[in-house]
Amino acid sequence: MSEIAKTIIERREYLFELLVQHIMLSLGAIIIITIIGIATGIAILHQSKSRQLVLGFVNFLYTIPSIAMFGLFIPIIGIGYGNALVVLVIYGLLPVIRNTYTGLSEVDPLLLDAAKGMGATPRQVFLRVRWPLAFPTILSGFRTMVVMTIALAGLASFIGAGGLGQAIYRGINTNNSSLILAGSISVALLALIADLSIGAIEKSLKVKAEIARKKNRILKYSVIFILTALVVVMALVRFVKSSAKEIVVASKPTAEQYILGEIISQLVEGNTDIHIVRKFGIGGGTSNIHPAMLKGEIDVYPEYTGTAWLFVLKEPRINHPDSLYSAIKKAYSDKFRLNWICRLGFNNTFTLALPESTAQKEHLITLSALAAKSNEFTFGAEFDFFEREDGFLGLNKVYPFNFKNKVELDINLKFQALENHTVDVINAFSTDSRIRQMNLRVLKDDKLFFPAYQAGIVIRNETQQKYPELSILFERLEGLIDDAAMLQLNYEVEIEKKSPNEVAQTFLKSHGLIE
Amino acid sequence: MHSMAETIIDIQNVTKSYQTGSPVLRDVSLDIAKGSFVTIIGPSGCGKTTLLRLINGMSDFDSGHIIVMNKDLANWDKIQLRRSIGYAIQQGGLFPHMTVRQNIEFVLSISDASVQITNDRVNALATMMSLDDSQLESFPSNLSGGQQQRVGVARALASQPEIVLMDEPFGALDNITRRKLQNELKEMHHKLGITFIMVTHDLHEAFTLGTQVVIMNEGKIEQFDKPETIKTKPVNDWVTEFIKT
Repeated sequence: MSEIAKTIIERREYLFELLVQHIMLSLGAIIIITIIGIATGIAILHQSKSRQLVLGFVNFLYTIPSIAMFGLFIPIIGIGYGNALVVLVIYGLLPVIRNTYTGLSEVDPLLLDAAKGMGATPRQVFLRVRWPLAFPTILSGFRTMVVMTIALAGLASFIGAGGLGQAIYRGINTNNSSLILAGSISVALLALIADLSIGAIEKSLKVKAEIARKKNRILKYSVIFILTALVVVMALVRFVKSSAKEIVVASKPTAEQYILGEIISQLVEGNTDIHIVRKFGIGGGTSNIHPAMLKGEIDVYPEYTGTAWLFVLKEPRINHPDSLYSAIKKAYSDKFRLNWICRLGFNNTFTLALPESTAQKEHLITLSALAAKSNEFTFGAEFDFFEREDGFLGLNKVYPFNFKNKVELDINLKFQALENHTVDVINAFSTDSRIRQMNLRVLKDDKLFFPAYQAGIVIRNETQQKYPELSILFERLEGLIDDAAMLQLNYEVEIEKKSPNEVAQTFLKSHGLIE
Repeated sequence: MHSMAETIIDIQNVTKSYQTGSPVLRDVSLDIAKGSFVTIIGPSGCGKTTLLRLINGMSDFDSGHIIVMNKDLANWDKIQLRRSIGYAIQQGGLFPHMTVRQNIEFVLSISDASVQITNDRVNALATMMSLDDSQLESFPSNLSGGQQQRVGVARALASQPEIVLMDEPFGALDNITRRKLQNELKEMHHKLGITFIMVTHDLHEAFTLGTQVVIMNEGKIEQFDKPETIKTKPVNDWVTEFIKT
């Protein structure tokens, strides 16, 4: 528990920013849902045909899994606030439309008849009798929607719309359970406060004694006042921020990417007056970030050469890392108007790893050396790796391995199997923090079989033109983070549970890049 | 208030049918004198409520004419017509989300009457119905059944109408309360001199309150006369049988 409190205190600014984003997103959705939902509920009141259609359709939308819905709109709307807003609105409509319709239709017809018989116009019948009598039902639908929207907004970070879900998502991806809890508790608290506030209004409507009514009126107005004040303050915060110079930095959902995202962001913040909007941990990684770069929703992000060449450009392999980089630089600039500014130095590629002690004893540095002595070792990897042409199948053609035994392992159990001596050698990513934790040696791919996955910084051409100071800044990162350095940074975040923010800051300071 | 009395509602040969089935009203004619208290009675489904609702344009008809306060119903603005006719329905039909005061004010508030007039009327009605201030400010659900009916009647009188229509206003009450309210209503009729038309299923109520009674069966008026005339000279066997029960 004290861990969580510590996390909340240490990261209060970060969490507060997320809280503001979360409230802005939820509030935007709630306002739109309320307007559309109530208007629709009223419109279908006397239209039995369109009512069936509308309620059926909204019900159907409600059954689509929310994660799928967020993904569904990426190709149409792109990532970020707009997409999240649309999804939240779609989900929130059902309870509001249904309760508005139900509330309005279940008003005692005798009372409507009485009002009409006394000479009320249709408008007066609606505003003075039907609406106020339906209001408690409509309000309870609204309450359901508000709580649901706040909870669902927690998923919005998945598509880069920020909010408290980002803390949870970041916690998951950097294996930081107190951050996960801090995020979750904040979302729950926010939902609870909203629920209780609306509950208080609901109650004040039910208490019908005169004296209680006056008191509750004060409560009702104070709740409304607080909410209004909150909206105004947040709108101001947003306005002040958006009027400044601003770029959007994104990252994929891995600890390494969060660290790189922070390094890029803090480098800019520490040396310019440009404001950074962090859209870290975007689900789906490159497949969602790249389109957003093209649309201008993201300005800068860290990418790997192998991913750019094989996944984005879909070109045949180029083995030499330097030729690969020049080819990518040219292709990105020509095709996408995106520029690779620098390579950070490390290569997060596939590799084979074994305990440092074994490696020293057997004098193993390269994969060729391992191949020569492979009959003494047992090799472990996930099923997938054995089957892939860019995995073991291809590897075995370049390096003639002759392992004593080959074991198929679950991807998460590989390192454990190595520790238990079930296997002697495993496949791994070269900057995996567990390599450092377990003191493993990564063997050199001396025949360049594995494609290079060198990390670099990609920036939109337009952004680079607009802020030329960025190129100069980023060039200072060229070659600064080698494999060992990245391993160390990942280790600090994943194993020592430091925040990416803190790790990035220490790194930049130690290199004199920020004060 | 005899044969020379001025006519306030004149219903001439009105016929109404639902899309399917038998006619709901068959060639109904009724001449209601100003200041009379007309009660309408008959077995359920005989069309008595429909007949009542013709008068303030709440139900329409296929053929015939209705003249209300010297003006053909076709020429009346329905909203204006309803605002100038009092209307009280079963169980009072009070709005549960409004205080007793707001209920009584309803007609005045929808027709934008001044605050001065509104307050004067409500106070006068409250005195007449013996409703005190705390009752005026409470909600209908806090009142007894009898009190709720009183409020229902007060609400119907708020616009100072010349005609008041009532659809079984005392239907849900116990006998003692009902007799008490009937007496109050009778006094009120004497005092105000306005025209009341009331649908009831209680024969005793119809004969006690009505200066004239309409006896209906299967969409037709069987007899329209003073209560004592109907008792002494029923027009046919059906009426004889009906008033015996």
